[in-house]
Amino acid sequence: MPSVEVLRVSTCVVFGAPLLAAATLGVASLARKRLLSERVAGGIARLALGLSFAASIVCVAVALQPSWQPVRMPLVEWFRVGDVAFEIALLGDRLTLVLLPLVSGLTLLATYFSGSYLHRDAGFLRFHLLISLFAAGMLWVVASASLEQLFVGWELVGVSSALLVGFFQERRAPTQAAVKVFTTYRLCDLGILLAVPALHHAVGSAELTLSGAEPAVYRLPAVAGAAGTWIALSILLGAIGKSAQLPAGSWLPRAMEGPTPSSALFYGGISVHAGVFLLLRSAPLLEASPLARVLVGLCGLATAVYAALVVRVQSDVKGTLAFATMAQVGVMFVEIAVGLYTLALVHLVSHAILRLYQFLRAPSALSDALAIDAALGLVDPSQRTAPARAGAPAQGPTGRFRVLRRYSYRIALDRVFLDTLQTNWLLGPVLALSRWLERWEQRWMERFEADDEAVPQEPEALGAPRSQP
Amino acid sequence: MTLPLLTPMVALPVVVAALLRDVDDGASAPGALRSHRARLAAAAALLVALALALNAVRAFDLAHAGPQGVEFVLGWLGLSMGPRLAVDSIVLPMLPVTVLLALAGIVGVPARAATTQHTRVVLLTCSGTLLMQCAADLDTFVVGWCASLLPAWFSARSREGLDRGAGGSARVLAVYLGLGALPLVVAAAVLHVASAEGGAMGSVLLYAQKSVELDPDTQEWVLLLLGVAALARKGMVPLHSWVPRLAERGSVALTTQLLGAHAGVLLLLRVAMPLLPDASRAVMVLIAGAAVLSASYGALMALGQRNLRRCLGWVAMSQSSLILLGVTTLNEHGLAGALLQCVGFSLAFAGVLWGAYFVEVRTGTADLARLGGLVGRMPVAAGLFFVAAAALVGLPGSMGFVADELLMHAALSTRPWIVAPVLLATGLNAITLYRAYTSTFLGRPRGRSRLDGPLPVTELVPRERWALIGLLTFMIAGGVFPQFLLALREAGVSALIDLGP
Repeated sequence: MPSVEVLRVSTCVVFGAPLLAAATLGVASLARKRLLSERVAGGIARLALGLSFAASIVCVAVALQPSWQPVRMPLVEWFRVGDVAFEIALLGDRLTLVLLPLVSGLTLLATYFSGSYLHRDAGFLRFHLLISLFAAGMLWVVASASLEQLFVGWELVGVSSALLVGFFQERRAPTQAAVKVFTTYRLCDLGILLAVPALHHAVGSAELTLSGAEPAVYRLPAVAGAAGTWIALSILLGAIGKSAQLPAGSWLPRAMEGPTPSSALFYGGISVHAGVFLLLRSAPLLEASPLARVLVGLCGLATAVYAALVVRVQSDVKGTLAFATMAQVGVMFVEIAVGLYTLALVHLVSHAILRLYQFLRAPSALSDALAIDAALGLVDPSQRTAPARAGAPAQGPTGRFRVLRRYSYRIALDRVFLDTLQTNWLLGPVLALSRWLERWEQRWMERFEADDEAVPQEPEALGAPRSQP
Repeated sequence: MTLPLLTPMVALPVVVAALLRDVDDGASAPGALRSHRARLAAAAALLVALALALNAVRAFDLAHAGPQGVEFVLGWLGLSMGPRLAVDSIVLPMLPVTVLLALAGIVGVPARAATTQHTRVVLLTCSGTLLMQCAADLDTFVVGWCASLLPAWFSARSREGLDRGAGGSARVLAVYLGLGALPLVVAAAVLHVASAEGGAMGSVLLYAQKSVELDPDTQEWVLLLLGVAALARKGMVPLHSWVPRLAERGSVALTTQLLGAHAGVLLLLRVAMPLLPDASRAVMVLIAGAAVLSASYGALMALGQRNLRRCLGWVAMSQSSLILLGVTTLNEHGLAGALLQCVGFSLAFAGVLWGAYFVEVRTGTADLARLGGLVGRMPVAAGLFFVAAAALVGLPGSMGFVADELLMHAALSTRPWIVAPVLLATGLNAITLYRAYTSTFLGRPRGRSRLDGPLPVTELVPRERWALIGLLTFMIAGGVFPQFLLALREAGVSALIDLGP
């Protein structure tokens, strides 16, 4: 079989196996009785992700052949209307081949970890369904040959991410955090939704092409002028949403309400780097638009400074890791802004692996620390005194630096008031306007039912009485 | 299509409705069907109608742009006169959807709510809608338009004094949908007069490939009337208030049937554009403006709602305005996207509204502040509601995704100013639906509802489950394989573009 065919089949298996697993688990979850045991459900997910990882290794092996060239592999035309066609094609370029084994491998690790972590949890099947869906979506993003195709996987990643943040469905905090995550994702994703037709309009296609500057990687084509700037800014909007960069980054610490394996995978390992990946794919667009490039750098820099400040006052390990991740991803944005694409890719891969490890170790880190202390005889756990709050300005410099530190501490405690600003200046006024208009609508409707006041309360009308089925 | 199959498809629900007798009040007329048997008979009739609709799709010649299967309603009696029916590639996919919505309306309602009157109203609305969709002449179209509205109005009138708000609902329907019907009747009369040849008035054929001769001023006035009718029936600003009202307090079956009929869209595509192509462009700009306003206003209003069903009504208004937007672009991508969205919207909206209704009949409330924590008791309902909501706002795998993509292409090339507000509206709608989902199914109940009371909140019964799964299966199949529907409508879209003003 020619190597391109091997690559095509392997890439299909890479994202097809998790997608099939997600579909199987989804159908099983519709059944009234529990069809699949925990062992079978976990086994299906692990088998699919194992296949996916093995196929990604085959892809890399093919690419290591001396005669290998980056390739675009058309699969099928999904639909066509006139000159607008949605062709599904896969890429075999350097960026894809680096990230396929990374994504499938880390997802496999997190799934193995969750087998014991979520043992006997009521949502075991749902968790594995969503992890499989996420893996399929993210691998689809990595292998996509056009921006509209990428957006399909991008949305799957967003939906599975929000649902996993709200995994503990009976608690209020995770479900509220999930709404915040979904809101940020959806609003920022509008940028990509806008960029796709705008690219078609500007250059006739949203397909990735081989760039002259770096011929081993497929990227979005450059667009000159104001149109190019708008498209680049739209893509930046999508990137900052998924990668938790300012001004849309306040969702990341709240996303830690989800189970640790999904936090590790999404917000340590993979999903949070999707924005970096998108910017790497869009490099020619950014190079053609100085304004967009400067904004990428500023977003990254501001986020890195913000996260470095706020992380100093975090008192829980997952929150600390979340802000540390934001800071590192901010640095990656800066690297992309200054054109260091290879460095950004290396940074992405190494950071994803390290952060996944740290997140997965987080639940046992405290007990490990206590065990080590006890083994060394340093501290009797019962006599351990509570440590001073991290970053508290009890013993600090004197003079104006002390004042500065005090203010910094106060600002960091409130996470630079980002949540407050968003609530008071964005969400609050919109909701107030909506409710004010609703009152007018209700008053208008009251004119139609003035005669019905004396009738006993019964909320149904028009012939559909309420009753138990 | 050699046999006249459209007439039995349209007439069968009417015939069955006429055979039903009111037995809910204890009457025992000889030969009367008990209400549960009435439901079975109605379901059987609708299954036959569904088979006929699917057969029409199967037998349709894709290469042929014009009407097919033209037949006289009285053709069974050997008469070549009276109302004429036909299908073209624009209306064809709507026929099975219309029947499917009625079938869900029969199958989905709880046993005690499935009164003979309810069954009859659903059947008559289905027949009226099919008549309008298959109309080959203007008179039949107008009759179908009114016939699809009257059952809902009569139903509300008959419940006046029994239900709080029923009288108000009847008045709302009378005012708003009457506002839609009256301009249509007036415009139809003007068109009749204008098309009379030698003083003799005949039928105004919708497929005649010939525009009506009118002076430009009159054309604009007629188009304005048709535009008002389309906006009122579609529930667009400023004639929108009946949509959230009906979604909140109306019968779910009727709401999904009325909003899923897309009568306003058909009025523009089948009447306004073919008969008065020259003046269409000016009115289309006004309609596009109203649609953008509706998309934004509906999304904003939905965001602040506390009642789940009213919230869905606003979202429906906002999302369905995208269909009108696609039509007003008058280009290939916009029309194809709009027609695909017609099918996708109808199925997805029915899915979410039925899901909300199933919650309401169990908990006794649709107040989002009192709901919550249902996922443990209704996991399948929660899953199906989520899938339907995702499809309604165009997430990948649904017809809405494909339609939105085509609409954005069309909008950027014709009216770039609509892109930003429409995108923002769809984004807000997605957020609203996700919030509604979490408020209803996740967390814990935040107030007293039936969850705290003696009545059990149970999972969907098979009848409800299959009603939802049936709707969603069609929707996902259309989303994963959209090319079939797009190809089905290609000839009709090309014909409309050829008409172009």
